[in-house]
Amino acid sequence: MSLIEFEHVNYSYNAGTESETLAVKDFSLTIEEGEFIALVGHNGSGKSTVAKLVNGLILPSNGTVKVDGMRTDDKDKLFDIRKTVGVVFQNPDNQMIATIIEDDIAFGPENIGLPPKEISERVDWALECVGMSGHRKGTPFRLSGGQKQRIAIAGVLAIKPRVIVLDESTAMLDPVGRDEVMKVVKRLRDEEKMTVIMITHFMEETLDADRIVVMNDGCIVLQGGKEIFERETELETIGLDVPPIKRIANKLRAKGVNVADGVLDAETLAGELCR
Amino acid sequence: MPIIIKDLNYVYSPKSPYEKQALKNINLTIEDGDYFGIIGHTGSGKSTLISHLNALTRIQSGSITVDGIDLKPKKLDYKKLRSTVGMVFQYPEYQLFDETVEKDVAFGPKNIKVPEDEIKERVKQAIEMVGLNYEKFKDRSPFELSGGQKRRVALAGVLAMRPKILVLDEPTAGLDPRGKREILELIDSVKSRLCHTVIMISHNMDEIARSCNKIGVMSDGELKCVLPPKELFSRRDLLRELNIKMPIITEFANMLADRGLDVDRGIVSEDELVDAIVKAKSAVGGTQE
Repeated sequence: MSLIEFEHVNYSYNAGTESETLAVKDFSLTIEEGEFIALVGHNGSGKSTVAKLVNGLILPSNGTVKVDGMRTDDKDKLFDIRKTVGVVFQNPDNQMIATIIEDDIAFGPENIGLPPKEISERVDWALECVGMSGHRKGTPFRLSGGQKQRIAIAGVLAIKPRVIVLDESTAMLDPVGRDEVMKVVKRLRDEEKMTVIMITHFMEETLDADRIVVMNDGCIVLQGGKEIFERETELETIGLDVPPIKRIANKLRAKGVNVADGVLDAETLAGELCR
Repeated sequence: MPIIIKDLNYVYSPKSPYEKQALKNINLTIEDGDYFGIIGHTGSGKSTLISHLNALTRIQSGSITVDGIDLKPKKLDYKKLRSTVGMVFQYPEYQLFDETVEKDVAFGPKNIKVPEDEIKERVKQAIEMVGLNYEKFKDRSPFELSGGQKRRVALAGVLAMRPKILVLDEPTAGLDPRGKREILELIDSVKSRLCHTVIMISHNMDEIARSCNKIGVMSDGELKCVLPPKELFSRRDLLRELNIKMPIITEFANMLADRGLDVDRGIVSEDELVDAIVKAKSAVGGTQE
């Protein structure tokens, strides 16, 4: 059994009305425990709908979504599903609920009825995971965007979910903030062995993923490792791009510089060019 | 006429425990024809600064003139000011509200009492300027459009005011790669056709470097420096001090330079970098032969 299983899922917004739109069509995907999935696609391709389907924020119109064997349309399991899958959204300001950071992070564990001692331990652990231990008694409203988003991640971590979904969680951040969040994500995968589903428009952020899943108009059109970036024309026709270093490598090759195929990151390309 | 800002200070919640000086002694002139980039971390004062330009935030101390309009007097000719400075906020599509695209775009000009037939003409021109087909889109609800289309309609609403100066706060945030590229190209075309001066806040250094002729760096309420992109991004010490990342292209150029390849550290455009590498490589190859 895989940790997350989408089987032939359809989802329509405004079902039964004139403006009904099918956001996800016959979507099937399985994700194994510990996998790092990058989900990409143009605006409106259905990525965020998938994120909301994973933990039962919305339910499939047809088909099933299972988390650790539990169906998201099984009301009795919803609580356990939400404990298994945590979601971090785009705007950190919309995810803060308390005026003191430790209260904000404790909100989840309190809700699942943990004893105070364990809540306190989890708050410590979650803050440490995102590198914000010094801010326990501070207020979230004075933090930078990257720091706020790390607090939002800590709030999700405090539930100790096995899966974390990041829905464009770096879109509103400055480059330094984006780096901070990406570092945390890598740590969660490498050290905490968490399953990560990251939705992003920044192609360079997908390079650390085990699998890149490309969506277009509600369907999966491509998936695989970094080799999918070799299919540039296909990606471009659906509004996506390749990582910037790959574009440079292509242009160099077109001008007769000897660069190996499949180079995607700065380190490798610099290595090739400065031999 | 230019935008002239002199000794501008701004304090939020003065005389309260939350008092925060958001702007500290800002002096800045933005010339006609500039494509002026503003960068800086969240909370550095960028948005407070630009919200002064159409008097959404009123001057506490210091002075600003925009295209000859003095923003200091209590009573301002808002009609004139808002047809001079067009402001596009972050995620402007959240501000769409009317039943049809046409009505939404017409809202601004209607408000400043532009005659009916001229409104129609302005709306049509604005919708076409943002790359949408007027006949096809005018009667549609703005809410059933795609994210990129909504953002264009929101931009059209500002352009229908025919501002000379266009101010944009993170115009590409949240868009997919094609959407980002299209919006930037659109701004280029608006700049050549309607708004002679463009001011853009962005967190995307590659976009800023590509588009702007000058970049102002804000940090902790201060305007730290104003430099052309090449100069700013080649000053590693300054970037480190201000905790600002280079564009991906520039970062890569520096990586190559560090490893001995003869490329300029200030390169900000992809094509320029490619040419520099080709040149450096052939020079190296030449000496080997």
